Amino acid sequence: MTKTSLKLSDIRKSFPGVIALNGINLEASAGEVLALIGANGAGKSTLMNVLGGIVHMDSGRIEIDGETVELRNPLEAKATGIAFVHQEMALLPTMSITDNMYISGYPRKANGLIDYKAAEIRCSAVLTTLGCSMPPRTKIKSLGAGDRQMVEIARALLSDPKIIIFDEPTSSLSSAEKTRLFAVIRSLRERGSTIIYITHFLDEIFALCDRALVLRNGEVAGGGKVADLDYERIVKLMLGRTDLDTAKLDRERAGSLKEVVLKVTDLGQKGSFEGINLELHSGEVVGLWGLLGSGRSEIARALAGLDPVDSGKMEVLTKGSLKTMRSADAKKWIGMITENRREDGLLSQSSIRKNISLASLPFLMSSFWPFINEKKEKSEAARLIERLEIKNAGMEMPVATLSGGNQQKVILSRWLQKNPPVLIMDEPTRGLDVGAKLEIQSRISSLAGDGSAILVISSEIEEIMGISDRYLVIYKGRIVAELGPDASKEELLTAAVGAAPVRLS
Amino acid sequence: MASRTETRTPAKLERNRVVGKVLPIALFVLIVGFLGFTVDHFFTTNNLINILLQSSALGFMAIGMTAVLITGGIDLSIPAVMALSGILGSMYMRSGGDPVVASLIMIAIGMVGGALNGLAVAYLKMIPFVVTLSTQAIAMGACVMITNSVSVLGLSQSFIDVVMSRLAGIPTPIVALAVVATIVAVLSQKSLFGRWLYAVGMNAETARVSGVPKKKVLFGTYVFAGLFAGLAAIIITARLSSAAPTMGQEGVVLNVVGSAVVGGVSIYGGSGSFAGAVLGAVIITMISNIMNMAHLSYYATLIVKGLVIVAVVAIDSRSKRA
Repeated sequence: MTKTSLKLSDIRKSFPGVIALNGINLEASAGEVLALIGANGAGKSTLMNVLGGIVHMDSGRIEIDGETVELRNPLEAKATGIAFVHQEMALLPTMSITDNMYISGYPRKANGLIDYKAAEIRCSAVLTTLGCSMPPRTKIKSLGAGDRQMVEIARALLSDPKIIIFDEPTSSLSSAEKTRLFAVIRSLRERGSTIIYITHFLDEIFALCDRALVLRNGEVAGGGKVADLDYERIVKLMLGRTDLDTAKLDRERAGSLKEVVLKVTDLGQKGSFEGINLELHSGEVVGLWGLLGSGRSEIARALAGLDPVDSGKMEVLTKGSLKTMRSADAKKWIGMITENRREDGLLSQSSIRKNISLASLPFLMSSFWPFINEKKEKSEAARLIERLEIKNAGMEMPVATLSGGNQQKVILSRWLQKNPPVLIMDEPTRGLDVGAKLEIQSRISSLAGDGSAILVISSEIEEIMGISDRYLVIYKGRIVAELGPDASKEELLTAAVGAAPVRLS
Repeated sequence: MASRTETRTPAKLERNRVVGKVLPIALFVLIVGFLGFTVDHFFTTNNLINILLQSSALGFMAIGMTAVLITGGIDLSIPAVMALSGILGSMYMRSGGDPVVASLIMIAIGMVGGALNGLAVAYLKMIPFVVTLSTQAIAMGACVMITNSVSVLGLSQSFIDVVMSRLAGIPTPIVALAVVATIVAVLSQKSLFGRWLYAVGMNAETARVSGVPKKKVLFGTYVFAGLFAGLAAIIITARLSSAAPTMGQEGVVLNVVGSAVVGGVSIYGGSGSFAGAVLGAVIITMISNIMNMAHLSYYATLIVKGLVIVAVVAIDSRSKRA
């Protein structure tokens, strides 16, 4: 029980401009479940990628059962007995369980053909140890989320690993399926496996784990036996004591809320969110706060008319009064900065000018010819480039030549030009360096100052606290709390993990 | 975590542009030079006009195909729809119908074919390749059934005379192609629809998030392609003084796709010019002519054209990855 099976000593890794891991020490024993916790960017993923042989550490030592090992690639990690169960279900839906478990290397017969019989026998055996009774030939697409998760685990168990790492395994599971998963994890623990359990949900730590290790900014912030910890303690470790009070950005508009520009009643989308009620006023920034997978991005996309909704009503301020609008028309009133610039934010091959004008082309038509008034288009682009201080080598240059921060400013200018009454921003500073982040944040504030209603999503609590006037907290597809401008970090974090908001003095 | 935003350097982007614009012109110069040296009287007015006349219908279809390729799709049904509309318009004339109405019929049938493709691709979210391959089969089957593979003769002589007339010594189809291609080229750069077309082709999701009516743009593009199939039908039936299913045979699809691709239109969507596609149509026509003069069979011509297209696409995809 007390035998240390995994020991990490002084693991360091830096990426250009970022120290991801700054001397991590971690020990885990056979027969225990260790929770690994940390805010986004704390270094959890990097640490796990080091263990998975995907990222190479700069320095440090990894020992398994007292022997130093080197993990240069995923195959070596597997060979040393480390297995992963990922949060994203990386299964091939049209193939059988057996195929999915063996896809990277089937057992072979002497003649070189696949030995399906042997594969299926082994497959059933592993499934049985997990308490599953599905036949190995079942196609993945006919399984529910919980059974799929079991197949993922079964795949990890095939190589008979000593150390099993679960990366947020419950994000798509119902509570019954979760109970079953926990039972399986406990039985793995009883059989002597070392389990590292990564999660955002603090209640799961108390339900399942023996010890917890909290990372913050690439360092170990603390930890200990779960029995000795509580919510507040963990939240404080995640945040760090020093930065409990964040100074808000300059904000004089608070308390001077103007009219409601968007009113949403009982909005729902099957499987993603339900019963969403909210009101946005002109001139305010509302933080939509929740964990990854809480439904926050789905809500944002539905509000912006990008995805259909199944129920509910949306009203928008038109000519002085609120009028119901169809979800499909939302694009006319609501601008959206999506979370991924490259995927659906930019026309990378196109020029800065054309990227800026993209949402406003119908308003840039010449009065007589069926042509776009390029003179106006250029002067508008020049105005916005100057206003947002976009560093560029000419507005006809491809937008892909700009830095990330300046690309994001191009997208911001696109909406500034169209100037819709409501603007939704999903992770507006993702992937930007600190300077660019601050700049975008102050732009968001000044936009609200000009009268826009802004809904912001961010995974970074400092960011959302720095720019929001109030908060809507999303947990499992519902708004679980509405917090005012004086909400503390603890209140936000505890609400986002599904616990009743608490206030620490 | 370090962000993995790959930024393309200006030099690489510049090279992409160069490949798209210079390649068709280089190919054009090469072939013209080769013909000039090897063929007697190549540079005579008559011969040049002849080549352009042969290219004109192909040029119209290439314009339609280019619009669809820019959206990232493909329309394999253009030649078959062209043949069907040519046949139906010709049959109308054969039964004594007015040539102007007959021309409108050809255009309308083309647009109906395009609208069906557009409906399936834009609103039913079907794959362009499958949709237009089916439309092609349907149109071709209809052509053969209607005509029993017998050419439709007896077109109105005034129809033939007007379409094949000369303006200042230049055959009308050439003038028409030049005028229409110029208008389309200008509109593609300056009109709202043109901008939306390229935006959808470069990144349909970005376009949609930015409020571009993606479905309408896609639908309109396929209707546009059908319209140009109809225009091509008018020229071809007049030039042949007849209409037959063979107008839309498989080699024509190759020529149409080939014109666009050789003209620098990317099959990955988002880039390419209509003027380039028309130049591509002339190049493809000249390749056919060279092969003819060298007394190579129709099938050998197919092989050579196929190889040229694959070579150009290979260059395109290399420059995309760079």
